[in-house]
This record gives sequence, structure tokens and C-alpha cells, in this order.
Amino acid sequence: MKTHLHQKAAKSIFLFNIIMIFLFSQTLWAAPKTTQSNAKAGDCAACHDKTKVLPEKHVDTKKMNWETCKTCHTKDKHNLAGKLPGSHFHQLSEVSCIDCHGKTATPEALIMEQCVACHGSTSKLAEKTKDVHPTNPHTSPHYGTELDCNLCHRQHTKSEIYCTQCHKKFNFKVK
Amino acid sequence: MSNINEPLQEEITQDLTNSSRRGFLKTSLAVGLAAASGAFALNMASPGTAEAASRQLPQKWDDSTEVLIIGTGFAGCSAAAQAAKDGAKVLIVDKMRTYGGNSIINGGVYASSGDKYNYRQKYNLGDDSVDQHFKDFLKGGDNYSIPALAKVVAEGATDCLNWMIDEGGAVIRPALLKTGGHTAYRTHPAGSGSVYVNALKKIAEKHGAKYKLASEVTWIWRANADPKSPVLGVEIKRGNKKENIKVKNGIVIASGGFSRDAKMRAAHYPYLAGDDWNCTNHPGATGEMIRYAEAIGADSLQMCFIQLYPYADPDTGILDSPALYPFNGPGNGIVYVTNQGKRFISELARRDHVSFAQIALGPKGKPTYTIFSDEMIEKLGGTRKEVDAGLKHGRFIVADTIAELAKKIGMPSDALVDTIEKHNRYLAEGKDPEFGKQISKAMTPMVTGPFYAVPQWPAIHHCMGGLRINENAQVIDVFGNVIPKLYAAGEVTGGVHGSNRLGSNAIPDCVVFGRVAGRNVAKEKA
Repeated sequence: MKTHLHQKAAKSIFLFNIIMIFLFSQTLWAAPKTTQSNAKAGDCAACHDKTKVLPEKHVDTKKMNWETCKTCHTKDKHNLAGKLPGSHFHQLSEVSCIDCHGKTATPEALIMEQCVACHGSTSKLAEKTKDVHPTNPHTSPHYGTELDCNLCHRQHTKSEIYCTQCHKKFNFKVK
Repeated sequence: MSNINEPLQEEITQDLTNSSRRGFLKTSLAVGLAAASGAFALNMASPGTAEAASRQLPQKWDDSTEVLIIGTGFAGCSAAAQAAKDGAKVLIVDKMRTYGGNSIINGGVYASSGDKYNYRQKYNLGDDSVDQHFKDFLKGGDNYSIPALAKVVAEGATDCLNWMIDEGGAVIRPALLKTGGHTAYRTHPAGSGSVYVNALKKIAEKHGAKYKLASEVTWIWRANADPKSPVLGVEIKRGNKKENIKVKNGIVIASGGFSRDAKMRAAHYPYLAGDDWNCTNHPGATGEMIRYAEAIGADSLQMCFIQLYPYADPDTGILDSPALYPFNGPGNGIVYVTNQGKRFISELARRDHVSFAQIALGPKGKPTYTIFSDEMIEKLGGTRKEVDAGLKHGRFIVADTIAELAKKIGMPSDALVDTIEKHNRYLAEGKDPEFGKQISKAMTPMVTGPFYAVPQWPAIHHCMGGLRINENAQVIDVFGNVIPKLYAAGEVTGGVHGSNRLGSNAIPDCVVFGRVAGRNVAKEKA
């Protein structure tokens, strides 16, 4: 008798846990339900469906793109650096998933040459950021200017600062 | 770091296209191996662990190469350069998304008894010889070194330095240093290990070696422990995919040390277990390749000998440019002091002695300091640019007088002034009565400022122990036999440095043995 009740209790607890994990994981991060590779720039719902990804009272972004975002989001006010995965800045600038990954059901990681093709040479970039504090993020005595862009500028997760594995004080604002 | 092993699809496609030109070879391989289907692979991993699950030799191979090199640091790049020069098809892989491991963030100091510029004679810095260098290896490691191995490095060091300069375009600084444990001026500074890594990579790629990053070796295939049984290939993980790569000539393990492998450290040297220690190494410095080699019969030795770098940044434990000055400068007259302004050891003492002398000061002893003067900067292989950057980042402290310097640090100024004055007198008299340091003319007294101080404290740095090799860089098994077609070079090996490595002996170890391995593996018949 006792064993039977135990089993029933164990089963319902198990089921309860499964449901809780399922519910919790949906809000863990705003992972899109699908990726619509031809979605319009500011059409969040095309991939995120009904999940709320914008804060309360945010304007409808469906018809917007990065240029119009910038009317409110500047470097000094509501700075979005680090707040969106890099892929979103691309999407908002009308560079879609297909434009980098090609038409495929199984997109793979890109190589640095693809970033450079649009964003220009890394030595020119290092020149542009030479006065950043505490040090130029785009060159080092170790890797010169050839460290893979994606090591910091993550596209599908939060960007990181590769240097801080050792250099704890190199807290750049990374997009 | 997340996702360090995202596959590089373009590169994989490129390589498979190239290998399809040798498609007929792949087909014949597949046929040959199908005949031997169902064979078990050798696995001596400890029963009960995940690695101990029984494995079957691959039924088919996804790709093949002649020489496979594991690791893209000094030893790996050196092996790749030599093997490629000797005509072998070389694939060199690294599990990280960057190349160069510890080597590319290294300080770039290289010990050899000679060099093509004859700096020692040019600067009148006394005598040296291969034999003297060899003797310093043995003494510095308390005679735990295998003499034949130390000899290979001492003999090959000068040649390899000139090789990197002539064929790889390496530019070294015009200085020659005497550093801890060495009895001669033989340490060549270059500013950064990237100088040597890039020189070797240039030679390697010029001769056709292919580099593949984000490719992690997860097993070494060997049929059994018979002394005639060679290694056959490796299993490699790229992103979420696993591939088996057949190797015709052989494998060179150049995967570095295990300073970041907390479990391995604790197993061999419990004193260094735990999170209380800082470490100079990159996050990839772990010992899985040693375990995989042991699982197919390889012997390892002296794994308990793990070195602390005495002069790391006390906060982060990193070995940045400023942290090199305390190592570079003893032959030029720098002084080590406690935070109370007193000397505590000969500045020419070897690294383990300096580290433990600091630790013996107790927790209040942290940090100690190196004091040097402006006129020493270039002579000890430094640059103005480095010093300015160091000052900007708050790593160096500067003042016009010793007394002011002490005040800025928060050290009793009378004590420091007294220490420096005494040391200046020792230099003039040619004798150090306090710590018996060998005084030489190249040591500059500290009379004219500005004067600099840099704080320092020991951090985990280098593994002297590792896989057992012979003078041909071949890996030896637990029965004393060569494992056919398996080579190893660099920090992953053991027995070169004994219980303590002298600073600046690491790069020659890696480049000399990397080259020996590369030459020998290229000669192997398929």
C-alpha cells in the first residue's frame, strides 16, 4: 500500500518538475521559436512570435530599422551596446541570416574573412581605435590585429571581452 | 568562454575538396580497414572513468594526413616547420580558436650559448659554451634531468635561434642577459613569444603546412601495446562533430603543460591544489593529451615538478611585459626587496628559490618589489614604450630618488636607501657578502634616477614533468619501448629540466625538440 502511494507521489512530483522546467526554460532567454531568414529589419515577432522582447511602452518596431532606432538609441542615451546579440544589429541593418550564412538549413560558424569583407581591414580598425582606454582593443603584442572578430563580437550570445581572461582591467564597451 | 569550438565550415569544405584529389587513396584505405572491422582499440585508462569505456578502432577514416601535430605553440610550429620543409604533408591542429597557446603570450626570452650577432663578444659579457649551458640545466634542476635530453637542447639552441631569425624573419632585441640560475650571459630577449611563434608559422606555412583551429583531439588510436604496434590516427572534435583522421607518418604531441588543470596539479603536487594560487597560463593549458597518451601506453615522469614564476602581477598573476623586468634584469644590477625595503635573496638565484623565499616571508610579505634604474632599461632588453605603457597601466612606479620611490610604494625610505647604497658598494667591491651573488661589470649601480619599482608575487607557471621521450623526441611506453610513430616535444614532455627549469630554457627546449620531432616524423615510412 505504502509503496503504491509513494510511487504515485513520485510520479506527480516528477511531472510537476517537468512542467516547471518547461515553463521556466521558455523565459530563460528570449530564444526565437523559429528563424525567419527573410524577416523585415525591425519585425521582432517574425522570429520571436508572441514572446515579449521589448520593454513595456516601447514603440512598435515592425517598420523600423537601425537608422530609425538611432533616433532614440544613441551612444549617450539608451546605448544598446552589449544589450543585443550582434546578429540583431546585422538584422536591423538589413543584413539577414542568409546574407552571411547562405541559404542552408544548417548554418555554420563564419570565418573572419567574411566580417572583414564588409567591415574593412583589421589594421584600419586598429588605427581607428588607437586612443581607446586603457588600451587599443584591436591590436596586441600577442596576436597583432589578427584575432578572430567573433571571439569578442559574439553574434548569437552576449559579446565578451577576450582579453579579460588575463587582463582583468581591460573593461571595454563591446558591441 | 562560451563556444570556443565553433567549427570553421569554410575551412573544412576547403580541406575535404583538397583531399578528394587524393580520393583514390581514401577509397583504398576504407577497403583495407573494412577487412579489419570490429577490432578493439588499446585503452589503458583507469577503470571506472569515462575514458575507460572500451573503444573500437575506426571502421573508416574521415580524412588522412602524413604528419599530424597537436598544438600550435613553439614546439608544434617548430615541428610543423621542419616536417614541412622535409617534404611531409603536415596538418597542425589546436583545440582553441586562436593559435599559439601559452607561447604567443610568452615573454620571448631564449637561452643559447651563441647567436649569429655574437652579442656576448660584442658587449664584452664574458665566456660561455654549450657544455656550460648543459651543466647549468643539470644543476638548475637538481640533477633530475635526463642528461641526454638536456644535452640535445644545449647543443641545438644556437642553431635554432639563427634558424628562426634567418628563415622566419624573427627580430630579437640587441641585448644579452644573465638570468636566475644561469652562470653566463645567454638569455636573448625579443619582447614577446609571438616573435618566435610567427617566425616558425611563417616557415611552416611557406612549405605547405596547414593550420586548423577549434579542432580538439579527443583520442589517440592504437591497436595494442605490442612494441611493434604504431599509433594509427586521432579522433578530432570540431563543433559538435567527431572525425577520425588517419596518420601515415606519425603524430607529434606538442600540447603544452597542465598549469590550468586543477585536478592534475592536485594529483601530483597537492601543495598547488586549490583556487588560492594565481596562474600565468592561458585557459587551454590542461593535461588531457598526457592522459590520452598514457591510455595507449605512454610513460610520464616528474609530473610533481610544477614551477612558480616568482615575479607575476600580484593581483592577476599574469606575466605581462612589466613582469619580465624582474626576470631579465639580474645581470644588469636590479635589486629584489621586501615591502620593508630589504633584500632577501641573490637576484641571480633560480626561480624556485626566489618563489619560496617570498612565500617564506608570510602573507604580509606580499608583494615584494624589483627596483631598477632608467639607464638599465635598454640594457636589460626593455624599451621606453613598454615602460611608458607599464606606468600608464599602474604596473610600474617611478620617482626621481630612491627615497621618493619608497614613499610612493609605502615602504620605509631609510631602509630602501640603505639597501641600494649597500648594493652599489657591493658592485664596486665585486662581492655580495649578504647573499653571495656573483657580481659582474655589466651590473649598473643605481646612482642617477629616475628609478622604478614593480611589485611581484609567485604564480603557477610551468610543468617540468610530462611524457617520457628519448633524444629523438619519440615517446617511450611504460615498458621502456618506443611507441612507433608517436613523438612529443615541448612542455608536454618531462625530464628535460629536472626539478626546476631555468628561465629562458623553455623556448629552446620547444624549438629544438620540435625540430627533432619534425625531422624524424617526416622520415617515417607510411
